[in-house]
Amino acid sequence: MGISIVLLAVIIIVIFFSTKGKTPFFNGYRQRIKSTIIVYISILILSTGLFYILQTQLSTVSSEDNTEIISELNNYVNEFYNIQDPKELDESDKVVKLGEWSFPYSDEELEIFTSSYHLVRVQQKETSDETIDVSFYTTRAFQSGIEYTELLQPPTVRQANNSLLITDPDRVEISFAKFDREFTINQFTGGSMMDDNHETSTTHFGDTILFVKVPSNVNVSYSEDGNIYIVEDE
Amino acid sequence: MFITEDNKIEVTKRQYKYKLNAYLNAFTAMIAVQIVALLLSLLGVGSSGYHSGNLSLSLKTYSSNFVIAFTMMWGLVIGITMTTQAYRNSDFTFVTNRLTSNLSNIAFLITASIIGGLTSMLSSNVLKVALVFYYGTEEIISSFISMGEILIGLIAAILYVLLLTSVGYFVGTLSQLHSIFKIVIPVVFFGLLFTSPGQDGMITKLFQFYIGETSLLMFSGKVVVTATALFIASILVSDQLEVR
Repeated sequence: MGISIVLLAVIIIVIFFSTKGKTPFFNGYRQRIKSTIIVYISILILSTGLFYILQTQLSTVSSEDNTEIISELNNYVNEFYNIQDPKELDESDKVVKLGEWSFPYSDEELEIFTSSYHLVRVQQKETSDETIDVSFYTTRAFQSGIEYTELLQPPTVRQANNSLLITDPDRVEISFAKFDREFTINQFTGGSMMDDNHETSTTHFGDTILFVKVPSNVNVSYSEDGNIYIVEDE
Repeated sequence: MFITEDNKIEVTKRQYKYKLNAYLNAFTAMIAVQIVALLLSLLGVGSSGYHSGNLSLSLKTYSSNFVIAFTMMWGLVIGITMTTQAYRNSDFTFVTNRLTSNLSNIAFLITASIIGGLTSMLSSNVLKVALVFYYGTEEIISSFISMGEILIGLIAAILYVLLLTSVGYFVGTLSQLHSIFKIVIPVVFFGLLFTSPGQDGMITKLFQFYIGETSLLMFSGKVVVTATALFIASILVSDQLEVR
């Protein structure tokens, strides 16, 4: 749907409507105009009917939808990053657990490597249960009022020898289209005149944390360039 | 030859019917304008994106605002065109005077506004259907529009086109009175637009008077009063024109 298609269509239309030396009073020409108008209006009526059949299958969202939860999420970010125990997040309606891993581990040294952009939060358990528990949480994510939390992919977490490897999965590209109401409707129904996007109140990008809980007897080391944070015992 | 009061209504009716048939070209121009606007609308009116880590999310916004705006411009041009010499001369096919000619023109312009407003709003569905087939139903998010809102949109679109046709008709009539108006009117308009820009500018306030109105009833009142005033002014001005 590039500009070339538009130009091509414009040229076709210009050719279609161009008439050399014919006047509006010429009968054949007038008949053609009448036919054009009838065809055009028929297309409009047909597509109106068709759209209202198809509309039932579309997701509907208005600028007012989800603004309350998005506002709460925007105020919740600090609290989210200060959570000590991931179990506290399991009950929250603002957070979704996207991944969970468990690795049996009997060694006393562990090196963590990450190439992921997610924050990795490492914490020692109170017991030595010979298991590394990893869980990945995200705050719910919205753009222009549309929730896309379920589209977020957790990182890949693998354990090999004395290492825990965290990498991002392949890039996922998703395109959405949104129909805005016409300004002639928005003007009288409280919407913004030209569009009904209010980015600040309808957008919250998911904040993420990967929690890594290691047995109490395991010493953790990590590369400084990774986004890793170790929680010290209080 | 004189026209009696009864005849005036009859003559106006006949002229109106004649113009509906003779000026069909105006509607093909409208269709062309709306198709071009629809194609431009396919490019989208806005987009936003989110790129983080492994996720790239893009949202493109579509609306048929272009179609309504282009139809309004068509209304303005049709209003002006109706006052040109070629169109005025065609009135003399009938026994006529300036009043019946003006009244039939105004009736034609009101009809054109209704057709323009209706088709511009309905054309949004062509755009939507095309995009549903392009993206698929899973990737489309639609603002829910109730029947009441559609009706509001239709009325407002018709009124906007009517407002522009009446402005066009008045400007065209003034231009017929003296060719200097063809220069003075654009100069005054663009002069005011550029010499007093911003929220306090006269043109901005004038636009705001209509687009800032949030009550449909008040908006209808403003447009009907303005259009009526402009049409009456056009009739009065055209009386000053030289007899053919």
